[in-house]
Amino acid sequence: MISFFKKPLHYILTGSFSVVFAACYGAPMNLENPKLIKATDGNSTPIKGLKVSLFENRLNINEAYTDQDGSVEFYVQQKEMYDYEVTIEDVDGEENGGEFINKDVNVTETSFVEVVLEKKN
Amino acid sequence: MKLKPKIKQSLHSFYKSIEIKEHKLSYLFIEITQKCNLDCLHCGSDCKAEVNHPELTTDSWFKIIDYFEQTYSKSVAFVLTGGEPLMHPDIYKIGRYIKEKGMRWAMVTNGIILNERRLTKLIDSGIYSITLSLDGLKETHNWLRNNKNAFDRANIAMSLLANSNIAFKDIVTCVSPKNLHELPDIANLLIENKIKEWRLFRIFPSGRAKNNKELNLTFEQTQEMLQFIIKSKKAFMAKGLNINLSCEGWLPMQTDLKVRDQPFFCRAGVSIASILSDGTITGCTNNHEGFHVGNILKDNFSVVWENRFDIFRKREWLAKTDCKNCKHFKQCNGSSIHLWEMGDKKPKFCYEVDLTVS
Repeated sequence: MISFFKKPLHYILTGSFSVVFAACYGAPMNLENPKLIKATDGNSTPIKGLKVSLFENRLNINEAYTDQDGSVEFYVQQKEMYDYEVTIEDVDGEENGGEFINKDVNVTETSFVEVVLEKKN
Repeated sequence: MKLKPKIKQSLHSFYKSIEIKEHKLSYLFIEITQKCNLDCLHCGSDCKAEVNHPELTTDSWFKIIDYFEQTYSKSVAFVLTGGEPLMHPDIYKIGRYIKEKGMRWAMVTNGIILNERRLTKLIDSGIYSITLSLDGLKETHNWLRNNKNAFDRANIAMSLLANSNIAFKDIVTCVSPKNLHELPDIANLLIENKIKEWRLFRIFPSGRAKNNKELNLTFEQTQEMLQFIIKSKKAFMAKGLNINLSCEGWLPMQTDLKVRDQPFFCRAGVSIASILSDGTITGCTNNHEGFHVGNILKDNFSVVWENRFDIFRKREWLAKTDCKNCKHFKQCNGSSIHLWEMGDKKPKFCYEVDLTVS
């Protein structure tokens, strides 16, 4: 229950929900605020095997494939100066529920987004 | 939201108390080797080209990664450190193994052997974040790194990194009396190279730097470094470079938020743990031996994490130190663990009180 206060507290202190830190002589990591993207078809069925590319200010910074739940997760810097967009591509044709139309989604303002993909005719 | 520093300080203390109570492991250093291709004057681990103790094998690291995947959340991030992690012949295998388990990994490097081919292999192995050391302009960096080619190699590595699609990348600079006045020029060099994040450190008074006064900033010089950040943070941010003080050293909130994006919180043993190359379990890699709390070769990590990390979290041992009489004690709570040797009466350095005159 008390953990519920953590994120609002952090926002009040830093103006950001994002907890990015680099421990001592370590590399920076974002410990909070993943961008969770879930892809489903028109019947709410998760789509596995979609290629999801993450763009930070239009630079491709990461890519991953959706799992059994149709989900991928990215961790980003989440600062005011960054804009985040994902492109979702069906790269396996008819496998995993059919062939779907690619989609671009801006995820700057959200940490979770469910994307419904339309099937190709 | 504009709040008075005292209120912010209280809220931050509350925030820290929640984090300490939860002590959710999020960040794991694995020191894959102590071998290093440099012989830096300021090395906190006293690393050399050869190591005199047995190191964990690649298979052992795989088992450790399996253990953390099964025991903790996949949100635990691994930071491969050393020594120079690129000296480990299986760094790509270890990184890829972490990535294939669905977890993130990062690396800290001196950049000496980071070329395009190696960077491509790191990216192919799923690396998420890289930190590169740059300790001054050419002469100063080469002096501190004890190698006449160190700056040129780091410069090449910096350019490669800046143009790569790695999610997080930053430059760290160990500030010493020799490079203190170069900071504006270093900032401009980073901007020229399109680097966006820069962290400044004092040199840790440990390892080879322990008794080398030539390397350690005095209290006044440290204040000068803080003033540099305070005065130039906005101007450099406008040019695309974000400057931060490292996570070392408690500061009053009104100063802290001028030099760091996030207020000071020593997370060693709270959300950070380390496994050293001989299996030692501790908080951060540079914590003194008195804070080594187990060994992965004979201890169950989660049992150690739950039962032996109170010296990091509760810090009752501070009651026997001079800090208990300080007016900042309640907020500071002993500052950074790595500034202490167990049994000492005061930390190796304090950002708020000049210990040489107190």
